[in-house]
Amino acid sequence: MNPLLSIEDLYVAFRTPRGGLALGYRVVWALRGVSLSVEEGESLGVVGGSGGGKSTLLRAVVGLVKPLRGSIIYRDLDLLKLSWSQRRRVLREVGYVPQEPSQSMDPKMSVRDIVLEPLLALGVPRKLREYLLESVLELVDLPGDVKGRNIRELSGGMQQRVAIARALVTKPRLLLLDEPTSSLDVSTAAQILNLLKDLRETLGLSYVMVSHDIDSVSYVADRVAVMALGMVVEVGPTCNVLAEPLHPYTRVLVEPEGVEGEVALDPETACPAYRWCPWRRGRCAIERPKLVEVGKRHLVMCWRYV
Amino acid sequence: MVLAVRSYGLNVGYEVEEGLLWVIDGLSMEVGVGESYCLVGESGCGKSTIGNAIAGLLPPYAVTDGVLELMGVRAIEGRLRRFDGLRGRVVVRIPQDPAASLNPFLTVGEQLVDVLRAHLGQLTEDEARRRVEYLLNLVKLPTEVAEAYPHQLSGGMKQRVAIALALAPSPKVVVADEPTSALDAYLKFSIARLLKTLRSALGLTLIFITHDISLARYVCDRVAVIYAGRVVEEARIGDIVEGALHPYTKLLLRAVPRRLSSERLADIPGAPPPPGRYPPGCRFRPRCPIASEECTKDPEADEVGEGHRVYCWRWRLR
Repeated sequence: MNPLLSIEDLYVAFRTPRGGLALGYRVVWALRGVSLSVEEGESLGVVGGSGGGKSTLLRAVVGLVKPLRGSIIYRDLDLLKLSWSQRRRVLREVGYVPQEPSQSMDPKMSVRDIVLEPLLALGVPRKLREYLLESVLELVDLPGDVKGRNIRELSGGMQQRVAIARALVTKPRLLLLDEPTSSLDVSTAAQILNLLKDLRETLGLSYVMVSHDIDSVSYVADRVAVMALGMVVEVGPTCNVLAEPLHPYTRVLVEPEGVEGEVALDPETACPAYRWCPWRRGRCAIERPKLVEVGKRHLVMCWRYV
Repeated sequence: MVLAVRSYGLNVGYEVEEGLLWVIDGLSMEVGVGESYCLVGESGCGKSTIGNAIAGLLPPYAVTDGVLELMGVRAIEGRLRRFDGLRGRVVVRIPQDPAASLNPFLTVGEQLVDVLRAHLGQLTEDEARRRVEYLLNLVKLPTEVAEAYPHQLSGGMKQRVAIALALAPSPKVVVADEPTSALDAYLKFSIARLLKTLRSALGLTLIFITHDISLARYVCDRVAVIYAGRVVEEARIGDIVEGALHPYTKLLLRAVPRRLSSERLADIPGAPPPPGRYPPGCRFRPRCPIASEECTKDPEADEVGEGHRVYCWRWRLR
């Protein structure tokens, strides 16, 4: 069976000012050949440090950034080859929950307007809209009287529920979640993680969940992908990756307490972990390793396993 | 024996439009010299207010009551706060957001020299350079960083600079207020490790404020769990992680996803009450699964083991 979403060899670059008094721009590669896939009903976690390209990956799927190369295939349709109107119809099946709920919603809008906005864009009739609003608020455990409230009157946890409701209102099959718990407190984060787990069961959703916290990702995800400087360095079943991390960078994320010395990633070397990897070889600095299969659906980008 | 931090019945409140709002209520804590003590709690429970009270950084509209002593010197006594001579030389705070606490117009070196001059008086050019090098070395940054402006540094490096700034006046007590909240998982531990090494190398007393219990476990000896402005449980970190007794601490521990465990996370219904709306008696009562009638009375400290105190009437039940 074909995967629900399949990202193949995706490249994204940004132009940023050189900074200081220097004129001109330099190119920063946010994604450097990312390939990942999500099966129907599966939940994929994406982890990595800041600047790894995790958010860019999600933004590329929903069309907020334009990839330079590669393809994003959703149910056999290459999204990058569709026209905008076609793409909008397809993306109805893909919900997106951006980072920082408070930053991604207009502070002057009411909960009702925020949740219903995607339906207006799709031209859903009024009666159906009201019905969908009721049912989606119930799904995310928000009381009905929250509808008329202004978004900034709500707590962080409730704002995140509204953001999830907005993503769910078009009845998606796939939900893209960008750091859904990073701005929340311990107990509220637990509530949101439980909600995500329940929603997946009741609605049969697929997830791509991005986070820098490997433990909260693994609570929800069946498979985990580790990203470093725009590359996937390891991807595999959650329990395998956590129990026996193979890539040196995955080790750092899984067991940060055990790391000795500095482990900054270097964009100049072919393998970003080259500078401090205990198993490095001369080849690692100049030639980028291929993703090799080391177990069932478990891939590592490392010369050691070739 | 002199304690690094000792507070007795410390209350802290803020003068707001509606009147006086008490945030911290009857805080009593004793932290020995060289100890690493952690305040754990969720946002809005008053952790930062406690940190600011200890560091002498409460705003003018804050109101205090009770006693706070730093290295045997009374810093807070009733409404009076006397931190002159203590701030800097005895106690410092490492800020939560290093980016916001550094001056974007000055190089790191200039900022360090500023602090050094403020505390040590005039320094010769040579002496200043030596001290800047020493401080950058201490936080494991290359000496060239002295020439850099804050915007040229990464988040982790900025936090190291903020730590160097804090250590410039050679303090005894360091209050670290969520020093890692803006950083990703690996950097978090690298900053925590730095604080740990600095603590033993310089004999510092560390007051570490966090909401992350795994980090507390890595850095600290003892921990106080704060809920709604009060300590609910205090113990050695191992006793909290393995044998928490207060229902809030238990739920909080079970609300954190654990490695390779699919056990459902604890759902604590509702949210912590904001200051001013604290319920009478035990403040966790409205959300507590084992609360009863007696919990409407203020809970008293129950000494259950060496240095392990629980503020709960009913912890023996489960």
